[in-house]
Amino acid sequence: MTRILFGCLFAVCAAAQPPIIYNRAVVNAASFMPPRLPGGAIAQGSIFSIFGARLGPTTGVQATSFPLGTTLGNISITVTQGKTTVNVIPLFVSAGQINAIMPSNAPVGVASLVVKSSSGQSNPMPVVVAANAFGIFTATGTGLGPGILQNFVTQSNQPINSPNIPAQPGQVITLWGTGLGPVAADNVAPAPGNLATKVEVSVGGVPVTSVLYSGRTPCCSGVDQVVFQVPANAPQGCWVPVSVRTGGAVVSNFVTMAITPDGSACDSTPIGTASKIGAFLGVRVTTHEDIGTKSAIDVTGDYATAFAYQTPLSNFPFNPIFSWAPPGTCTAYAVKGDLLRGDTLPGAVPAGAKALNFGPAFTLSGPNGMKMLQNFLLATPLRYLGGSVTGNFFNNTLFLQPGSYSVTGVGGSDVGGFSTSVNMPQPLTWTNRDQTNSIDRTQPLNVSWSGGSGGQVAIVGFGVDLPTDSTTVFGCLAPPGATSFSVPPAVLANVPPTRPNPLQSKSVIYVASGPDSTAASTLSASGLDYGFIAFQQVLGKTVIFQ
Amino acid sequence: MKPSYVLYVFGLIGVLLFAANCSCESDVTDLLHFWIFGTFDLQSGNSGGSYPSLQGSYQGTRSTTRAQSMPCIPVLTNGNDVKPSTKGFDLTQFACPSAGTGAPIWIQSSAAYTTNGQPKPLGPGQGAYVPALELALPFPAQRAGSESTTINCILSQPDVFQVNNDNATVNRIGTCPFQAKATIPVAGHPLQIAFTPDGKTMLVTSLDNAVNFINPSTNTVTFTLSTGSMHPNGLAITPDGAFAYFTNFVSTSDTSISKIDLTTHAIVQTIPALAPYAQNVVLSPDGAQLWVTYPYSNSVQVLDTLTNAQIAVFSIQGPRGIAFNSKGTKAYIAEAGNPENATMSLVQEVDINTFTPGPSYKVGLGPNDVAVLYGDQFVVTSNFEGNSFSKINTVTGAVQTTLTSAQVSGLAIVY
Repeated sequence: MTRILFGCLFAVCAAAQPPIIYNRAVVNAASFMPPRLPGGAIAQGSIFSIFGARLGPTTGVQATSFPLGTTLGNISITVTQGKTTVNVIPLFVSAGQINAIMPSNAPVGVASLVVKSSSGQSNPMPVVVAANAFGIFTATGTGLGPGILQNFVTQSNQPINSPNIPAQPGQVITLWGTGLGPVAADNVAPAPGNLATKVEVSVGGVPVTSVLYSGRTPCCSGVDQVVFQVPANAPQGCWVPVSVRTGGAVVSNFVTMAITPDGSACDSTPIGTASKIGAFLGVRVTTHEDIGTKSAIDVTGDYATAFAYQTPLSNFPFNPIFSWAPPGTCTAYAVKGDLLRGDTLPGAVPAGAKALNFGPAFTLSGPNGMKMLQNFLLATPLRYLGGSVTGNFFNNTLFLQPGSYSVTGVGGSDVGGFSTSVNMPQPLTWTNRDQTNSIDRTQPLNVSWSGGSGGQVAIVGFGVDLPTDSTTVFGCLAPPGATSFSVPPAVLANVPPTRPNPLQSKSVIYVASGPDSTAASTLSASGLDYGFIAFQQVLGKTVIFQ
Repeated sequence: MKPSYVLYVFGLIGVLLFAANCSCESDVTDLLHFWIFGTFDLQSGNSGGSYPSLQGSYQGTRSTTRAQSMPCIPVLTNGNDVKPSTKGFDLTQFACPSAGTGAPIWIQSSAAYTTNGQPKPLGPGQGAYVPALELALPFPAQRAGSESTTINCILSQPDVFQVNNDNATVNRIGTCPFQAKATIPVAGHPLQIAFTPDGKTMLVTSLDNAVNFINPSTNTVTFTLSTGSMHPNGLAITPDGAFAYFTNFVSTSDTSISKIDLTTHAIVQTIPALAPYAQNVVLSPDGAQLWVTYPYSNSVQVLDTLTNAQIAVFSIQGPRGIAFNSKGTKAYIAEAGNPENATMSLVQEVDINTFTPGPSYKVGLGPNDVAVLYGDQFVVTSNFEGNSFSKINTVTGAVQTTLTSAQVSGLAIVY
């Protein structure tokens, strides 16, 4: 039997247990970016969050007035580097979470953070303190999705931007975040004024030329505002990526804002308009693995996925998987976990989603015969159809050869039956695949292709750093008809560099060709607000991010 | 087609990516086809009251594309093999044997192989393997049931190193073919081996008051650090290759953990140990935590490497080896009970995010070394008193224990 004794050694712990800070759980309070990624440091004077157990009182306590103290709810926090120790300013303390201000005089670099309560002292947790590292607050509270950005209409009318209330090109926006840098005093109401930190705002990849203000908000210690004007040539859509680079080097989390020509609501179909969504997709993914394998191989897998679910509509509709950036733009998400093995983006599984019963089985018929696909569930939507690995002893069991396929569903208690036919398209040719090996993250990543189905092309890159349990994924959608695309350095900025030991990193880029009109069809079934079926080819390659 | 329609399709690709590694449809195999190599050398009864400790084990990495063009490169960089032009050692000193000559072959292993790569029984001087071929990425090509089972080893596979405690030597053993390559004399009673991340330096602890620095390119000791009255046993090197930690395996209050600056070869810090006989030290993958075993005090201590402050203490009966998953979110601790003659057969999982115990797995008697295979699904133990090794499927909880013809102490996973 195993017992865990925190600080008690071998004595019986008669007193209450001390606080525990969970591993790597000290993060920017707006971005929640993993602490070991470039943008994951805690800026001097910024608000950050600590997650753990027994961190504070069961019922949270909030600081309510200035001057702010260094103790709240009998909780204090220190940051120590060498012989220098500073007291953190707690804003909110509870059992599972603390929000606090990193003092502006905290030493820059790696330091050790400790939470102290009447029950004792927590485990020390390493933190990286930086002069600046900005995080943008989000409506989802996850660091992903619609940012807290206010459209300036009048002084008394500044609604929060959303797909229902987009901004117009040229409109002034107030962006809320934390991490612009230190100020003279953290415990009193901030004095308004621009901070010295260089601030660069990007809207859909278009640099903002008019930053009107970047500094503390007068109301709230640690909270920063960036006021800027939407570029006239900014991309338009419901989920236009927005990011902030500080100090010429550190890139924030990517959030979204809605932009339309006249400020009218944008088309957020299906996330923002459909409650009951269903889909069936057949996909072949061929990944060229030449980094970290004994020899270059092409791993091909044929898969089918299907699901139907019902989810409540939101004023801030967003799903990081479905809410793509507009054509010609990119976004990036830096999160905890290994997104290539079991972990998911926050919000990827819709909160409160209810799986719809759409029958016991589908039949999939094509050039290689028929397969019966059973028991699709929202949580387990994947079916393996076949695969191959070049140059080895595996049998080739590929199923989704290009050609015509019919998909039939018998229907279930929530979704009716359907039958439709689509084509599995030819794959595109990734023309510079073999030249895409070592990627300098400070330079644009160029991807070019030819052929394929003629549909739009998406570029998705993953950088997984296993020792720090963090992933940055970026996604770009090329403009229609394009045959090449350049991924900007800012999108790559928080991708963790590939480690020398290939077993410790997963660095891979996928190029996906969207289906043309013959490879996609509406999935018309009773009980669905929105449904479709499509077949698609995806190419991947292992790379080294430098 | 509406633009949102296209976006939605791309979104579904995302669904595939996130779902591709689930075990929703069938038991996920260890996609990477591991290569396991057991060593059988240490005899019990080391001087100084030391329990026969972990073998020096070398975890190599898979080589890269160069394997085809330069097939005779041993991989000896302990995981830093992406740039062969700047890593590795003098290749010219090694012959290039014919594939399969003298190599351990996966003999009559069809049944074992098709049940997720379970290695066949090992014996002294034997090994079993299938070559690593595929990364743990989404969209794998899953195995079919009619695979070939006669597979030659791959010449690019790394050598392994093995301490010979009684003879005060370190043996270098090629894995393809399986043969001794070199014997390196070291200070008395060597116990554990560790490589710097760049593969250029190998450290070996010697209970007889020394830490040996070895250049693997020449198979020679380049420096011997005298540790005075300390008896080095456990050994761990930081991920940046700057420092090493070793335990002072003594019964007195002098028991300690010391830190070596690998540039100056000097002991720069000595931390008092929690209890006598601090034995093994293992660093978390990010280097932030140092885990120390105390087999005679039935505990495992976790230290913060930045401050040397204690993070937690776990009560484990006769702890031996510790291994982490690749993300550093879980630790697996071999729990053998009586350290002199094992009475337990457990591997205890610990959630490092919350420092809470997870499930325990019943393996062979006296689990000693622990290793987590690439992909994190499988954990392998060498079971000294049980003359066996075990393979734990951490997804299903299933454990397969295979008897060997000898006591199994060290364990090296060779990809």
